[in-house]
Amino acid sequence: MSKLHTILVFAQNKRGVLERITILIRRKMYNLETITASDTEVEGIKRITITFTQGDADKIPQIVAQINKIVEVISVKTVDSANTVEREILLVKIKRPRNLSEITSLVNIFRGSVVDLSEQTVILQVAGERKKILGFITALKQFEILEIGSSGIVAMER
Amino acid sequence: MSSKKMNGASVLLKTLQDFGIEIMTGYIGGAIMPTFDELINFPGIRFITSRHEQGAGFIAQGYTRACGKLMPVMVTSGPGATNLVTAVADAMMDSVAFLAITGQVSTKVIGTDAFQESDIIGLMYPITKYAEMLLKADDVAEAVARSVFIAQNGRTGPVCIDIPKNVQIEETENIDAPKALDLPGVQTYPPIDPDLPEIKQAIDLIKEAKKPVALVGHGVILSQAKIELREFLEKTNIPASFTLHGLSSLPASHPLNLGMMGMHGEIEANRAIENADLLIALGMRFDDRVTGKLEEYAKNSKVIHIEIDPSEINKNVKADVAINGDLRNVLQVLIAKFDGLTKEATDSRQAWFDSINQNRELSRKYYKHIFEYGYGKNNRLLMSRIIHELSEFTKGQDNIVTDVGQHQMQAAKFYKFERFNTWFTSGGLGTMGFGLPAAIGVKIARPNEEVWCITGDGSFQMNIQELGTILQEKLNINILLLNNGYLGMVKQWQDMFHNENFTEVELTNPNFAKIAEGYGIAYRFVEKVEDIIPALQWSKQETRSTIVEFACDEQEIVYPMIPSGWTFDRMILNEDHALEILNKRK
Repeated sequence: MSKLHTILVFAQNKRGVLERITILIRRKMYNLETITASDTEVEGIKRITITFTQGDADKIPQIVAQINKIVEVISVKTVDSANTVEREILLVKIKRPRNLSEITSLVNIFRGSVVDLSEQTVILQVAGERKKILGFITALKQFEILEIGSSGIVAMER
Repeated sequence: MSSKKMNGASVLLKTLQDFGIEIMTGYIGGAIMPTFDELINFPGIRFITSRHEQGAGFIAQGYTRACGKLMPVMVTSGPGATNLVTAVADAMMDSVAFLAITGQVSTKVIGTDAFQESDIIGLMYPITKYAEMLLKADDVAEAVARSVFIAQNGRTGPVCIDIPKNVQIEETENIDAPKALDLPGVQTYPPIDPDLPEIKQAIDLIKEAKKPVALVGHGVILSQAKIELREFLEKTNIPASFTLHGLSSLPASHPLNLGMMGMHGEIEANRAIENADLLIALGMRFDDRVTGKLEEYAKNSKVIHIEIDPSEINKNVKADVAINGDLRNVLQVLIAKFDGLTKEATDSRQAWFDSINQNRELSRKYYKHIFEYGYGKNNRLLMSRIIHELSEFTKGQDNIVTDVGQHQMQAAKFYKFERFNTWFTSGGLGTMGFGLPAAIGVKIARPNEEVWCITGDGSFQMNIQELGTILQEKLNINILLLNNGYLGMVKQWQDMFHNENFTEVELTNPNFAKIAEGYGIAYRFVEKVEDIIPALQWSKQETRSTIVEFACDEQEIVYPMIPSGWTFDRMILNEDHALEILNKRK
């Protein structure tokens, strides 16, 4: 897979901030991979993690400068992946196999868990770096995958 | 907090008044009526009713560009607000401080597709610095203060306040704006540190440059760096070329003035840029009309970029030295730090100015037929000649407002601006219809000065309804209608790049004399060169507004031209050269 560029934004929790950011990304024709927003340790401040695909490498300083112009944005920076923890959570729904142990052993290898079990389906959860997430999906190819959903990347510098 | 109560509408107007607003423009309608109701209680605020919300937007732009003060534009919801959108987008592109106040349907019905409801915040986000809807009367004072601040600070631009009808009516005790605003994302510019390494790097490049050119943009006007620009250029002995919006920042008669650069720039300006070893960009953004083919632009020169908006640095052209700050302040520092050119640089200046002067001669040669004859192939007047006569007649001292098209380019080229900030046009967005309402705004800001609105038959009819505003406000504006019966600039492109396929550019025009009569405007028709000056004289002496209609030649082409995406070395110099380079010689 290609390397992602990650931008970390801290912004005041006001209406429209996320919309302004996504409008910018569309208008400037950047390739958005994931975007997540969540609370922080400070009330009223949101952290937004945005990842772009590699093709946009030379455009990253420009998007950082553009996002920085949004009035509610307190800070924005590209993060150095060598010095950053990046995680996402993946949920996968598969058709329940005859032998459940096949799936549990695979999930264990990836330090994931079975989070739901029904007569027809199993929902699995794995958290980790994108490389691991993609590896897990590849390993699941022998099963019948019904649905895939992931949280998008959350990044935190050391 | 005061115990006095006011409704949201009154708080809005009071806050504007507290921030020194003396005049507003716009158009009344359902969702903004409560605020218009309160205008009567604010006699210190004059209101100009336009005939269309877009007209109001350009009236405000003309006013703000001419006097630097905000003129809020107040319109109703739905169509009132959507009509304003073009003027807001134009203000964004041209960095003009602008405050749009749009009425909105009541909060109870927002989202139900109520009568005259539209998502104005959604529409405004991509074309404003900031936009917000107010949900409580309690928030109005602070929001207005915030918007006024954002519009006028950093790189100036448009801001929108969307205010639902019930919020205008609701009462609040919050009638005063807070002293301090919490605005992390708005950059303000304290004086820069003269010991910044970039200052030294810039000075070193300037000292050693053998073939430097300054690229002067709108930032010089916006930062009021009139004296500093001149002093910087004179002290460093650097010639200057100008973006469309940089025009009028240095007197045209100044020996270092090379005129406009870019697509329709002067030969001397474009050749200097092409051959320079150092480009000093002062408050400009390397628009595609300025650079031509970007990959080849400034390939052999160093670039110093001084700019207020950090996102403009390295956006189009990579800077060797970038200084982010208010241009006037940066120029003051550079002037103070500059201690003379190196001997090599001094010695090479003469050759540099010699080559510039050769190109000036070439320009004069190619413009000879304009100055000596003044008619085109169909024996009708050349726009360039009309502008030249205007320039001579007014000695370059008056306010020039244009629309968009050939007349605009010829005005930019042939009006010799001698006074700072006397040129008003729509650059980035290139909005036809800008001229007439913007001229109204300039006239309101400078009531004792002459204002000339140079327009074409296409552009004039895009906001011709604003003649009604002139009538109502009893304004005295000189309208020069350069009528060639065509959308001339589009026709020029069809002629040069679309196989002379003149589709949809010929206009069947109304009787402009009768239109003038209907609006109480004096009118004259001119078709001979010798009648131009007398008509201008007559227009100036008239105490009401005038339209002078000129019979212009539809075969006029604006030269020189660097076609879109071409390199500077392929600048088309004149008609003969065009036939050759476009393979059209028959």
